[in-house]
Amino acid sequence: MVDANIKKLYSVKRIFVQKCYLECDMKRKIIKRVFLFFIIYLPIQYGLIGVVGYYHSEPWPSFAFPGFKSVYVHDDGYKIEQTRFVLKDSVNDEVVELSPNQFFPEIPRSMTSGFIRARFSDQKMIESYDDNTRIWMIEKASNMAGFDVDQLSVHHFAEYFSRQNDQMALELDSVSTIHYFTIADNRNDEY
Amino acid sequence: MMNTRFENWIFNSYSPTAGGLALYRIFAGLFFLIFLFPDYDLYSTLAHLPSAFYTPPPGPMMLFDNFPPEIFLRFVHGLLMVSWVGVLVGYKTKWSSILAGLCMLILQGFMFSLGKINHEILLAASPIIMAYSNWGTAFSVDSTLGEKEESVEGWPLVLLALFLGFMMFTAGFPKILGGWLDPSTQATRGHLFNQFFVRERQEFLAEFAVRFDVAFVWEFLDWATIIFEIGFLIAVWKAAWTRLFICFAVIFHFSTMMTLNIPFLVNFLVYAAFIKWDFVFKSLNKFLAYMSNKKFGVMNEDKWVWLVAIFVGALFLILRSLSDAGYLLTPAEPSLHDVVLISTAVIIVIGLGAKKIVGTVKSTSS
Repeated sequence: MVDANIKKLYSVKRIFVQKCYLECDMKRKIIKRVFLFFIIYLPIQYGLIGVVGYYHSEPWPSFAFPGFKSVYVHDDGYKIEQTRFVLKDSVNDEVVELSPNQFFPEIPRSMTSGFIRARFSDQKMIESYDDNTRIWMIEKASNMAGFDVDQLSVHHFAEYFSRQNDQMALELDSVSTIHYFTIADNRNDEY
Repeated sequence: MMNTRFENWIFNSYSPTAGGLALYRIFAGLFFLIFLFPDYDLYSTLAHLPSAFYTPPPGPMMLFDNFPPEIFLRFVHGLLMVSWVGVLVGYKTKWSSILAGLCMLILQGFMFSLGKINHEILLAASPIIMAYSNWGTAFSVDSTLGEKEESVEGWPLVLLALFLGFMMFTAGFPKILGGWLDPSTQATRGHLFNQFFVRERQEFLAEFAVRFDVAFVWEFLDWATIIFEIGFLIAVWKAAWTRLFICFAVIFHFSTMMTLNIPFLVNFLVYAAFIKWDFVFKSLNKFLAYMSNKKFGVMNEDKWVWLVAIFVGALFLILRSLSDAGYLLTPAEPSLHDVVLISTAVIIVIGLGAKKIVGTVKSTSS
């Protein structure tokens, strides 16, 4: 009787151990597949980032860090691209130029350059803005400038610097306009 | 053979303990809640921008055609906070961790629909991955309530290292294509000038770096950056190498903070996962056992772990408050807490390096 019970116990234990082993084995297989998936997926999504990024913009979500591949070197100097919003009151001949950070202080600094690139670097994109957006921009510009802005533009330009030893400032050699887009012009348009 | 090596890499690279993982969970909870939480004011900005400014990156955010109402973003923000508190105290830890990651993804998705992706996906991915390590097994509400105990797992750390290593690789690879290895161009220096003169990031050692005019050193930095970023992917193969490269990463972030004034605190949440928390746990245990006998009488582990957590949390809160108040530094980047936390990390790394060197010298001399 005792032997039978012990045998029964052993068989129950064996079944339990086998079940645990099978479950554990199954789990390990799933985890291995997860790893295999990501080992294949990560390079593919990186390739896609390159392709989609080239034709459109960087996709999200994606597993990538920024490359900072630009070298900013031009001949023996440095080329630095800048953007300014140009706020004009043509009646009183007043002009104020604001950097993107000044014009959009509510947008985090780390996001401003990307925002400008995405929304203000293309003529077609700017032309696609509806009247509400233009009115919003003009009102914002007037508030920022402290006068009635009737013409709002965005100026993208490149500055070419050289630097001599022991000088703490870069020497500006030349400036060239890359794009100059008019965002809103109240002199011609009725909103 | 290959299969065994692959399995060995996945399952045996890290052998965390319940106590060690719990310490990391508590640290991550405090770190995220106090230093890495998204800016609450941004939701109002997003909701009030014209719909024409909604620029979703290619992906799921293209399903929407405008920023959602402010109340929705604030609700997700609240949910993110609740879920991270759940992670911190270990309540329904697995689900809290997954929810924390999903909420972060939703918020990031809308924030990045301004046209700029901030490459902070690990903030969302890391709690989801760590949920499967069962980091809520010890020092948690779950363990107090007697929830079914699951064994802790080391493979999520390997997966996290794989993501980190691959992402580092994606930072290094374009630099090679962009001409960083060309001896006639010093790209690091170009970035320094860009930050110094255009973005007016002129704190700490920035001025010294601008004056530093030794092309050879700048070229060395270009190469070192690429070797570090590409090499990280190889380092994922062994836990010791990963930890070594994380030490390099800490030094790298410290140097970029000091010269370019760019801190990248987000990554430190992930780097911290690779600290030998079991060792920290044992050391604290020894220290506190000694202290308990001397001063406070016998205390159980749960009690002292939470006392230490409250102490660290209070320190973090003080630091954050000083930082927000603009004490010593203006709240803009790098803020006081960026400087203190990254400097502390680099001091720890230097300490560990010195200990290793002394140990190696001693063992070779004997």
